[in-house]
Amino acid sequence: MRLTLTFLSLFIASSVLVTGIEAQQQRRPSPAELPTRNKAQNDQKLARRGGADSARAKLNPRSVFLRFDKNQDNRLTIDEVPVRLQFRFSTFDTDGNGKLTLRELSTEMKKQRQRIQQRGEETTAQFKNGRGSKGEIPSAADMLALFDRNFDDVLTEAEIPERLKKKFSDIDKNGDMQLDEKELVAAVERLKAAKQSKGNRFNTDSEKSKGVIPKRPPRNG
Amino acid sequence: MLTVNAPPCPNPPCLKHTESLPMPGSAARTNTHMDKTIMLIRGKILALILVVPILFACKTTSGQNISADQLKFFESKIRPVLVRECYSCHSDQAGQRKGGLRVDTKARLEVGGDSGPAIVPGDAAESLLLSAINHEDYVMPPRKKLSDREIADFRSWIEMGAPDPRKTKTTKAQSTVSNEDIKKGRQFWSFKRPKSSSVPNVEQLAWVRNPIDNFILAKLSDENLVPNEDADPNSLLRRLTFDLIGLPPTPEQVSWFEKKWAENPDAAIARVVDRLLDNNQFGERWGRHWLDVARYAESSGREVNATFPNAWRYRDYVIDSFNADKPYDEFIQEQLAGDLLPAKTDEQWTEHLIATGFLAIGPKTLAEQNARQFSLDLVDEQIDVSTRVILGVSVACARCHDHKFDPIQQKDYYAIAGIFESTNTYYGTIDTPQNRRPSRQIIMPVQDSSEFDLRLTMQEVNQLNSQIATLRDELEVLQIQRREARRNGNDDKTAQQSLANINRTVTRIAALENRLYSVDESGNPKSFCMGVQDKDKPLDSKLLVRGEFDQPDGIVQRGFVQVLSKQNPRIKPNESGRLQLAKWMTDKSNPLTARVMVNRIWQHLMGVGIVQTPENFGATGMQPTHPELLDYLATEFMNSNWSVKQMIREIVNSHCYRISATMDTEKFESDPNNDFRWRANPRQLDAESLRDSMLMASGSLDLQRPRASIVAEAGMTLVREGRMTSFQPTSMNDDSMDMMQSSRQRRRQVKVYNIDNHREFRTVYLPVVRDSLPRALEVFDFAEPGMVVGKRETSNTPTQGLYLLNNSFVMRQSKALAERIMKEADTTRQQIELAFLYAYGRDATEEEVESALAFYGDYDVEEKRRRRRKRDSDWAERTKLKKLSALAHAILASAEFRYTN
Repeated sequence: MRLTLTFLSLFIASSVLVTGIEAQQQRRPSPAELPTRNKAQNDQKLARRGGADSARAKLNPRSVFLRFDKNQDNRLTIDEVPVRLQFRFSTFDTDGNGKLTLRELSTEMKKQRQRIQQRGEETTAQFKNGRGSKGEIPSAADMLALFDRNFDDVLTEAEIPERLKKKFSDIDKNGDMQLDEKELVAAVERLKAAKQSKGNRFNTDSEKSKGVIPKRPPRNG
Repeated sequence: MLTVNAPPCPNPPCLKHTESLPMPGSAARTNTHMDKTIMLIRGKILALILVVPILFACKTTSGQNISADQLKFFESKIRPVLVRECYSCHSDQAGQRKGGLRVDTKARLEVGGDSGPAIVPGDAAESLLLSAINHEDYVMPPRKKLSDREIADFRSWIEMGAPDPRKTKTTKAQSTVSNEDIKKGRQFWSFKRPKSSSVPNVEQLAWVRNPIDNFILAKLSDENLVPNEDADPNSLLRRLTFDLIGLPPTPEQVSWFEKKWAENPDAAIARVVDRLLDNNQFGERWGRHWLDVARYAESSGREVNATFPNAWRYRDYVIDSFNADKPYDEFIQEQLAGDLLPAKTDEQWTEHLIATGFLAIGPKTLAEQNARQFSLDLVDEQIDVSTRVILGVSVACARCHDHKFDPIQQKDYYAIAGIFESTNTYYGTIDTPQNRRPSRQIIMPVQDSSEFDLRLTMQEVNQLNSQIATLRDELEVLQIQRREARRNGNDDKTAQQSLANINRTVTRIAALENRLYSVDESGNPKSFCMGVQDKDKPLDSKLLVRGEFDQPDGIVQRGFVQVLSKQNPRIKPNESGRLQLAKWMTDKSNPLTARVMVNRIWQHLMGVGIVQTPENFGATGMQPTHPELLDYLATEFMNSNWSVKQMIREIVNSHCYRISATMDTEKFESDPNNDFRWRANPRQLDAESLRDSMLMASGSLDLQRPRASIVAEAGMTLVREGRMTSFQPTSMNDDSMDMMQSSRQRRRQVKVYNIDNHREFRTVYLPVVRDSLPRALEVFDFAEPGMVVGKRETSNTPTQGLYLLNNSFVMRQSKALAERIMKEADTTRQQIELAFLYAYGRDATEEEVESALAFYGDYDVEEKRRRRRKRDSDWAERTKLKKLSALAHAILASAEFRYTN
């Protein structure tokens, strides 16, 4: 009996110990606990996985900076940034020394975030959900502001949400696998036209309920 | 070699061959250099084989400037996809045109279907086809999406101008009616102007009352016939009152007329006629005749039977016009082009607008998928009604080909079609998913709201607005759900359920919006009418081979029927030509308008027209029995300023009107059809006169015109199984518009209107709902409201007998008549005599009274009543009422009550 109890207590103790070790192993370190470069990698992982933190992770200036800083000298030269960003280099390079620091990049990105916020949290929220609560179609500018996470004024397939990916090839008229503002404007217009299409039997048209004001004929023949 | 032995591609290349061609990518996949070279050569040879016949095809069949590359692109990238994915539902080959769309020729793609053009060459953004294959608004193909490459191909194809060698096989319209035929056709009796020939001399001058008698008597003499004696005064008075106001004479009128008849029959008739013509009931009787030919109804009919809640305004306009003796030419002009006629006051303008309802109240296929087809059918219906009613010729027969019998070219049809195609028709109807072709209505310049119209408080307006907003949000959610369900490929049951939910919500939104927009911002009712307006940019119509909209063959200048008009009308570019058409139709030089109308008047008074086919004065119509008389009447009609009342007065004051309907075997053998009018034609009462007579006899008839109609009360809605449902706004505190509301709550918001449930006003004011007529009209040969009916059918069917014996309305009127006679007379004999007077407009004979008394005595009341005899003090009174009701019922159901002699 005593032997049995000893075994039982040993079993329970070992189970608790094993569970504790497993729990220790499963707990992932928070981004703040990771070294700088690991944080950026973690952000990119999060971004790839999608989910609520995805956009935030991609918009992290440190993540963008480290991704481009190939020689790890904490400075970005025009050669290090992708071609899409090169033409905006001077805007970012506020001190004009031909090199971007993390601070310069962060400042510019912060400004851009503010612009997004100015366009209204509501619009952002609507489009985050894939559709406005009133079925409004967001403007091309809103789409760029929200999804252009690396500030190159074009949207790649990776940047846009799943719902839009299905339409990517339709919107990408010139076939360069990027959506520029012109293409987005055209797509938005098409969407609006389709929405207003008379053929949609489920679009109730309030105008039909209103009357026609007749044209006045002459008073004298 | 394989390529040499391969059969050449047919012209244009068939899909199989196109698909079997090696694509550029397939060559690249070969492993060896040799293989690559062989494949390349093979590809080039095949391409050559393919392109040569295609080029040949381009030049010979299509005639379009399609380059070889474009054609290759179409044949390899576009046609296979169309055939594979679209033809099964949208081609002649499959016999399907879902959504009204066919994609098997370029023309058909450009014409499009229900929603407009499928492609706009050169403009991908405007091309619905691209939007559909992108699954943006439509989801095509329904169960899959084309690959990105295929979609990109379609875009490129549209942007390069949609080069497409497929052509609709058009045949040139072949005219079978030559200009010579038209010239010759002008010599046909009805296409010549009526000439006022001299009145024939007759020997029996004493018999003659006016020139009509000369014409009738001359013809009778030619046939060795003599007219019957005059009818007895009771029969004549009954004939007069039914003919002129559609009601039986009152006992007072009967006694007055008998007295005056004895003194001077001519004066007695003249006096009665004048009184009846001045009576407001005249318009109700004669207006109804016009409503028969104007195919008046308060709903669209056909598959989607939507109400016309403002059609009653046209009905009242017609009745008022007849009462006011509006000159017939003005009456026609107002109906065809009232919106364009000068109007000194806004009241006059409003009246003219209501008159144009004539063109808007016709039956409509609101479920029509193709907008163009709907528009052409609408125009066709307007042409048909205008020409048959006013001119007595069926121009609409020339829609698909030249008229088979009359010298009317297909070109003539499209000349008039251009006029109506340049016109917008506003008929209203509720905007629901079933109704694919709703329209707006015209806001009346002068509002005529009354206490019967819906008025809303500001609170109710706000409430309606919020309800509509809630429902719109609900609809949005439902649509997203449906879209998601379709994307995820959910089962059909879920899809059907979501569609049903959407349908219901859309219908509710439409109903509430109609209610909301029927009032102004302050909640005061707005007045609408049905009618027409000129389009901003009038255009000539295209002649359509076989009447098919995708087979145009040249443009036809707007104009009139050539055989009736030698000169082309002067229509300014910004005018539709409707005003010119109206003026031309009512011009005194038009040979048909006056003839057709006097023939109608004659027919309504004499039972049979001079031309017995009132809508067909053409080659297949019947010849006039008295052509000179017809011309005389037409000329007189025009000379009397187109006065209908004057024409009626002249006819009923003639001697031939008052002759008896007595049968004479000898005369019958000479003229069995009574073509020469030797006797009056006995006539069965029409549905309106029969019902009105019952109400009149029972003393229940309400002669006041009711406001609007039960259809107007129900508002814009759909008619189902004789009932109309109207959505009511929920009360302020009722928050039941959410998705969770119970079916009981939903039912509370619905009010049902029964078409057969009406008050005891004159029958002309009963709702005329297509395919759901009130029983009292349907059984007794009422004019089919979807058609132009100049002459109603006369039938004697078992259903009529069963209606008279069993219908609750007849029962009620019998009881009311019994109560009336019991109140007005004391003895049973007097009561019976009174019943005969009220019902037949004459005194009962002694034999009839005896027979009625016997019936009264023998009639057995129910056993149950007898047992309660001792306890029931009113038993004797009630038994008498019961017996007299049975007698009254027998009188009302008798043949004499249903006929005039």
